[in-house]
Amino acid sequence: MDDAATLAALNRRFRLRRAWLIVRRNVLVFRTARLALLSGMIEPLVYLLTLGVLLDRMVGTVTVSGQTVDYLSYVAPGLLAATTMTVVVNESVSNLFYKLRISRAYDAVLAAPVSGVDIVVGELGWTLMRTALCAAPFIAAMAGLGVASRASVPLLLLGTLIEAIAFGAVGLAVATYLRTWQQRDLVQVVVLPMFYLCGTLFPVQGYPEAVRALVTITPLYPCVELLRSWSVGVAQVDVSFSLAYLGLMTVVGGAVAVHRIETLLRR
Amino acid sequence: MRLAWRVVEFQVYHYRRTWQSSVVGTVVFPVLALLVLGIGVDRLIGASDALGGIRYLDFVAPAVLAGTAMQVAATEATMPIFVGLRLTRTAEAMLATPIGPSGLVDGHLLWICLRTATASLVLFGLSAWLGVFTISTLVPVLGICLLVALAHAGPLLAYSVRQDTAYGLVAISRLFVLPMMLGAGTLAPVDLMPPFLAYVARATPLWHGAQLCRAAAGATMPAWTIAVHVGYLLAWAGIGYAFARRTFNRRLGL
Repeated sequence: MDDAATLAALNRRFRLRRAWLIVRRNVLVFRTARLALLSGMIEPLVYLLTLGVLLDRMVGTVTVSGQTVDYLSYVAPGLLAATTMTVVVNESVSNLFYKLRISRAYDAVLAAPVSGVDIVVGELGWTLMRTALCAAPFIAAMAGLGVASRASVPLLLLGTLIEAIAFGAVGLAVATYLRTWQQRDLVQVVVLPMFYLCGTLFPVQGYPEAVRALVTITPLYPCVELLRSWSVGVAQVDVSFSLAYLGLMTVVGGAVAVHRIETLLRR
Repeated sequence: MRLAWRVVEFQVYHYRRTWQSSVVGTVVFPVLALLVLGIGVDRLIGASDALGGIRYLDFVAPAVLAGTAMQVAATEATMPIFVGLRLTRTAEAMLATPIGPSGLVDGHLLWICLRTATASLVLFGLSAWLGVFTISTLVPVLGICLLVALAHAGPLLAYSVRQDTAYGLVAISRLFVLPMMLGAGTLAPVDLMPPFLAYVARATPLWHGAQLCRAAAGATMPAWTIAVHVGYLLAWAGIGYAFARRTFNRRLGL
């Protein structure tokens, strides 16, 4: 009855209730870490108030796609995309790595009938909750500073959640390949330059052609484009490419993550 | 002092295996910040009245040096203490030797000075190449950076040794280190901030360090201001050191 093959077949299925249990576990763990949760919400605001508001007082205006806008309107959606990436990468890469390799929480989880799909969906669900928690004060601050209209508030939230799923799926996939804390820190080598260079602080039009081409294929660039065009109408660009790019990240990242978690934990 | 060097020796052995990851935070990131702000944002700002006629690069690069010194202290005086005491327990092994709690403090501070010196040297080279500093200011700039690192390291050591979980360390990096890095008169002159926040910024040791680095880069300021900046940093370093030793001895002493 409970031979390994039956159990394995059972475990490949997806059950929403089991994914929800993964989310519940994360909620329970983080209830003991309110300070970490709260400080995670404040961090993006610090970027908005310094790189946004302070620099705005010196920069004045920026011209993007022939449109002249004040710097705060330009930089705020860029910083929203960049800080969302930071939150999501931290959540998916570091926390999954910790649970897979250090605390071995998933060794315990997989003793119960839970599949890789359940785990990935559950972790992504939790990542979405955290992203919403961090993005909401940021978007509210944007509205308060007059750089997000009432109509753009729900769009901005939607955009950050799309970004969170895409980065979260890829992040989970990356986390399964990491073996040491030092390798995890090397993820920052990819994330940090993206944070500052993908059209977040200044338009990419200023770069040499080759650099500009490189920047536009990095995963943060479509997020910045998406959020910027969905905020106060800065640079109305076609977002279908961005959405397709992020959709691809979600599907490929998610599939790799499921496959890797299954193979890692069922050897 | 001889015992403190044994702690440094441990750090060197440890660092030989882990240097890649810490180089990211203390060299790669500052170099990136210097280029992004000093070239990218500099181009956006052009000439701003708030800067009093100097290039933004000349304004921000000295602050990146001071900020990096703080970052080294914030990296090396927090997590390694927690890990050594609670996770790998290498600190317990050291405490079982004549090194003792005071030697542990001295050793970590020495190590922080070495790390700050190397990181600052890289940044000094780059900013001197960009024309921010003249080579002759190397020694004073290194001295300022060490002072900034020590001003933050003492209090952070005392804080870290009291932590039972890592959450407090995450919180201090997000709630104090990052806001100071970006807001303590580093990216923009404090006069551009609301008056209350400007006072808070002026009270941070980082602002005084950044101002000193700016003076070394050629910003004109009266001698007494420089004396105040140096004195303020020395006070933080001295009181922080005494505080760290006392806390280590109380928590870890026999």
